[in-house]
Amino acid sequence: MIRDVLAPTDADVTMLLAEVWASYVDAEPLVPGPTAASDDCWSATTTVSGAWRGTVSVQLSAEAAQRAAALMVGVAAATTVEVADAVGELANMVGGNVKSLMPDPSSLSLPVVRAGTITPPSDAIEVAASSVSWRGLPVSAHVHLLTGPEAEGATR
Amino acid sequence: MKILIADDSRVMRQIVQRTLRQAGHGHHEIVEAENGRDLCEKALTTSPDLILSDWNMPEMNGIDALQRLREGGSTIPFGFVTSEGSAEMRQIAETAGALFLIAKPFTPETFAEALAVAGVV
Repeated sequence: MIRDVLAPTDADVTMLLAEVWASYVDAEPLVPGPTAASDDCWSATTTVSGAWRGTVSVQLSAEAAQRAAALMVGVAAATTVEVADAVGELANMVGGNVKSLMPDPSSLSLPVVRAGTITPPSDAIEVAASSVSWRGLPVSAHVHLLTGPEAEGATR
Repeated sequence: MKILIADDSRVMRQIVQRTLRQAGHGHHEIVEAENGRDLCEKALTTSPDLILSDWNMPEMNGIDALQRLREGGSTIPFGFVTSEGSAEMRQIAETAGALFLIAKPFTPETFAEALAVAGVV
């Protein structure tokens, strides 16, 4: 049952998102806020496979993604490629740290990035989330537990 | 010194370079690679003094690249810069011949300490 499976808490995800943000974007505090609208956002997700199975995703409003990427790259305006790269790297860092909190051994996928939302797999159940506002812009991180059988051919 | 930075994220390669500068290591020549295969090729063609590599990359990941280099006789000092900093990953890295593993998110101080371990001045 879900309650018997180890999972990060909302507080874990909030802390990880804040640490990553402060290290690579800027020191402006993240405060509780709404999730970005699905028709105006960038999303990225990583998948953890092995002793613990889940997805870790981030979702930013389009403006938050553009401004965060520009700060990460150190330019006035980030290109679309740089925005996608930056959002993917944010998911990679939050995902890698969630993976480190969960049981070993496991592996982390490369991030999948999309302009828009990424629909979780049908067997995914959200177990933790953090929705914050950065300079008035929506940023969120979500952890889903994968409850279905591991796909054939899945490798560590 | 010449430092080879390998990461499939160009944004992260730039962040690593910025952090090196903040850690007092902005005077080194930088070579960039975008995956493990590229890392191995450039390790042979550019002869870096230190390799800083991500773990999870397309085509060839960092740990496979390190193992390939060591099997080929390379003794270039190698450190990981990765989002996965668990005890298991650190042990795998050490066994394969890495000098250190810097976990993301990192600070200039973390970089300075790791490079000191590697003997980089």
